[in-house]
Amino acid sequence: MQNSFLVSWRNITCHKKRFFFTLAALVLGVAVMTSMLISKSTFSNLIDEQEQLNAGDADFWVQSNDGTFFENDLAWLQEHEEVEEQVSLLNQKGFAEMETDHPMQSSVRFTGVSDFDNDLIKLSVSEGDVTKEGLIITENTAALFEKEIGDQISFQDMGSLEITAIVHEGSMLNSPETLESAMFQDIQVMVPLDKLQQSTGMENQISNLRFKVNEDTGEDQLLAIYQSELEGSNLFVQPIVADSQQNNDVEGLYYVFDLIAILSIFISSFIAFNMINTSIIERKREIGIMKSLGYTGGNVVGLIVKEIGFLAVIGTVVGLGLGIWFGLYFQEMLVSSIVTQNIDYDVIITGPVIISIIVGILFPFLAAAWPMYKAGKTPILKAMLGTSAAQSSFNKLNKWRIILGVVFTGIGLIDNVWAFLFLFVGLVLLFPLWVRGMQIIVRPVLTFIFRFSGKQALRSIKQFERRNANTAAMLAIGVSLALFMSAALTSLPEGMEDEIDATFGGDIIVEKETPWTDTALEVVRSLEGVENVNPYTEIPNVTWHTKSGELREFSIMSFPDISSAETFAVVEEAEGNSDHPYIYVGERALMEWGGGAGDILTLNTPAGEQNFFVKGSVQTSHNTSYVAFAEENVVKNELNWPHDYHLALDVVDEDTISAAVLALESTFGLEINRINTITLTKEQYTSGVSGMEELMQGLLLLIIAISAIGTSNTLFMNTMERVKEIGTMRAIGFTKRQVQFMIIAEGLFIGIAGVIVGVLYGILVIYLNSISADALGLLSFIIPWNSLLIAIAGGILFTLLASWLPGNSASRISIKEAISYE
Amino acid sequence: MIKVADVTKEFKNGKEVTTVLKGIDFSVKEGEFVAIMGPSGSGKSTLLQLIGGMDIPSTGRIELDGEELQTKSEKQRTIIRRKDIGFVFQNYQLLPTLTVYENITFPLHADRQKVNPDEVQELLKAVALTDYEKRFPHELSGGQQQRVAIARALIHKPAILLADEPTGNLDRERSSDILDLLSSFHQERGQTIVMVTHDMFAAGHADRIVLFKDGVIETEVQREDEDYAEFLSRFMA
Repeated sequence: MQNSFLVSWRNITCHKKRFFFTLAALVLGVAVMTSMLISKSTFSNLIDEQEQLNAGDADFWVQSNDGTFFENDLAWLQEHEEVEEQVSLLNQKGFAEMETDHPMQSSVRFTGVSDFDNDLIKLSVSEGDVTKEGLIITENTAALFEKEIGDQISFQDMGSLEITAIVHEGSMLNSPETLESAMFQDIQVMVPLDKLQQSTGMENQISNLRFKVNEDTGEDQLLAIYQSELEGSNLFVQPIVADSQQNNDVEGLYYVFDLIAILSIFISSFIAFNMINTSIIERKREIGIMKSLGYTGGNVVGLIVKEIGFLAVIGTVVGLGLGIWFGLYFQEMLVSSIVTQNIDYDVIITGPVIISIIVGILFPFLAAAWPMYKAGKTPILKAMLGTSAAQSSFNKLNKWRIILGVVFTGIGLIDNVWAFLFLFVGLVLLFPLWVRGMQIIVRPVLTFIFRFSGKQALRSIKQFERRNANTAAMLAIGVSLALFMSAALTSLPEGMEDEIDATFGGDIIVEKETPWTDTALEVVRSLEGVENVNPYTEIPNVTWHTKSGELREFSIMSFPDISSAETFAVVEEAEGNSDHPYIYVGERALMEWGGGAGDILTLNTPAGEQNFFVKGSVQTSHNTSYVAFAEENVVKNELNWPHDYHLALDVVDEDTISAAVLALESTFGLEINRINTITLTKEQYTSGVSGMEELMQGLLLLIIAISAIGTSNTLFMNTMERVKEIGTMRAIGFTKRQVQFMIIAEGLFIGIAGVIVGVLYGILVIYLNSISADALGLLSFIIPWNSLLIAIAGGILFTLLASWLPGNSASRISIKEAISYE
Repeated sequence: MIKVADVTKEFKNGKEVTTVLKGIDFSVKEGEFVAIMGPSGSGKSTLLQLIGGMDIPSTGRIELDGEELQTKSEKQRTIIRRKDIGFVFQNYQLLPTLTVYENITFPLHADRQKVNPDEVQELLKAVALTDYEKRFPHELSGGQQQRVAIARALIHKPAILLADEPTGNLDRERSSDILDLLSSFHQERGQTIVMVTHDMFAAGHADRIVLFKDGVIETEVQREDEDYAEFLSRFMA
């Protein structure tokens, strides 16, 4: 076996460039895949972790439909032995004493905490001691006030408090980074409960109580007991759920990560396939001789396995290192652009690394499986006669490939999120046809630029049609995805803006600490620029179980006339009716639940467990469709939620929005919990997407770069198989430059074919998504001209660069050696 | 026409230096048919490659019509080869993806010259391949492939035809055809030919035979020489 190692090793060292480029492609493929997996796992974990921190170790919480309630109302809970730990919280608004241009910039959201030393509230500590009673602020707040641990911050009506802990930003406490953003976001702090109760005159009152129970009794059983205790009161109990989907619509992002990871490893595996296939074709005679000397088919396969093993192991090890480094850098950019700065999170490496090792090692072997099989079956005599690879592959079109290509393309046209993967497999299979068609289009260009070298290049393209077609297909996939991503990133904000316009429900939404009264509503109506005032209800934290048994939660919104309220658009409506009250469920929530329109959904409401008939699925900008809508009389009369805390306002025009917000703030001040405007919601969405656009374009350029390595590798192989021919050309009058131009023209052909077909498929994918029901109407058919130009320029430029080295190498082929080449 | 003056050629392999040609002086007149003979490794093919400008001598001069090859750049040598030299190789070296016609016209295209179809047809007729112009090399026999190679070597009307073992891969009957073809070009068109061979039967078609041994010219004999017949029969034996 020592001999076979030697043969494998020498085959690698004899074709250094080819192996280097294949290795480079595998390294990049594994690196991109690893970094995407790290980013996805870390980001997903970060969001779950934030929800978990928000939930703490608490199992249940009690809230009131009046906003606050007296602690004594829950005296009965002390008699329940299963309750192990509890903490009371009071949420109130106030102001810090600081010099600002506008009072809103000093607006503070206080959370009063009865006991700092407990596990029910979890904070990610940066400095200090969160168990010590005092003022807890975030890093952003500390930077904004330029304060440290031990310093004091003064608040109106509360006096000064000493900072005992500084925590990272998170879902429990999150503050603006700058004074500009403080105009729209409260500074969030935690203070001792009694201090807050005294300063706000709300002695013994709390907003909610969280508690933890021992594990002896089932949670569903306990929930029923607590619900019966609270029946008929204004209080209600809910299990605490860490459901990250309520506030985060990141499935699209994960989908993109998966796509880029799959694509990069597929392209690099294809490059490995190309290399191994060529190597085997070249060595047919050698393999024939080996078999004639006693090597079995298995021995031959073993020989190739060693070569692939070498590539796969080195590629994976180096790729992992590079991928981890890039992944850390990428997810840092991602978190700061999508979530916030100063957030503390764990980087998830182990899982992605294990997957990358398995895929990185396995895929090159899978890619090489067919060539290996063919090598093992090499017939001795035929191989020793040494039929030219050029002759045997010349001008043949595999009809099965074309038939399969048509079938896969057909499947790819089905309206499904993953169907386009089949479309791309179809693209690869049908590419030899595209290559033939492209020759007609590209011939005049190549002949004009490179003259006779261009004509010869077209012959080479035909000579190695399959390999060149596969290489161009990889580029085409990269280009088409780049275009699709671009179109999506351009049309998504537009689609989302349209959706916000159609379903926001007004120009301004105001959430108050206490219910809106008729008097307060009259005041709002009298404010300048205000046209319509529509109070509505929103029950928070309504829990339910998915079909697979997971506990989830969302809000139920209701309006006086649900059928005319401009807060959602019905996607699908169930026929028929039910005895149960009906609700419309947002599409994301419906998908998570696992049911559909016409089914019965059981919800834990403030009035206890209730069954609802799902009348339809809807799209809405509220909570990114992770929400439900019910009739107002049902919510107010049957679900124990009688008050309107929310108000949707219409103003005269968009320019009046800011003035109306300021008027509301100055009129209602401390009573306002949150104000959101239609313009701010749109801005928040588009700013998130614009940050993503550059990241995605960078990643897709990386994929085009991997494709370009494939082009380089292919051209090297084309050259190596034609050493004798190129030598002859040189001997009978071709100059070095003509040879170089011939190879560059081949590369340019691959580039042009890849880009043109990529653009066509890109436009097709954009069109299919624009009419897809799965895309929820968020994608419109637009051609991203800028990205199209970048894709064309990038694709051709990368390919030209990739052709330079093989061209140079071909021009340096020694005539003497080539014409005696065997 | 061709003048080789005190030419040496060394090849280095690490520290090892092999001298293949050792001070060769040799010339070929216009219209002459010269055969270079010698055992393997005697340097005859190396000399042909130097005359063809594929390589340059380590020392000495090679002149083609008074132009020194060794002082020219690789590109200049390629252009000289493209215009003034035709090459025929032992293993034909046809381009497998080109048809017979395209193979023959390749040197004209490489030099951006216009192809005169009549001239190509005339040449095809001369090499007896009139009906084969659309065939690919793998569809031809060895002899036919070599005839295509000869036509390709002559299409641009080179001053010199260099043939490296043109019958090395052929049987006697086909060899004879090829040699008759070369002779006819030499006799009818006055084509200057330098042919490397180790086959005395092939060399017998030349005006002059130069015998190489260990990198030096051992002996030369002309058809007009009195001892020509004896030389041939000695080798034939």
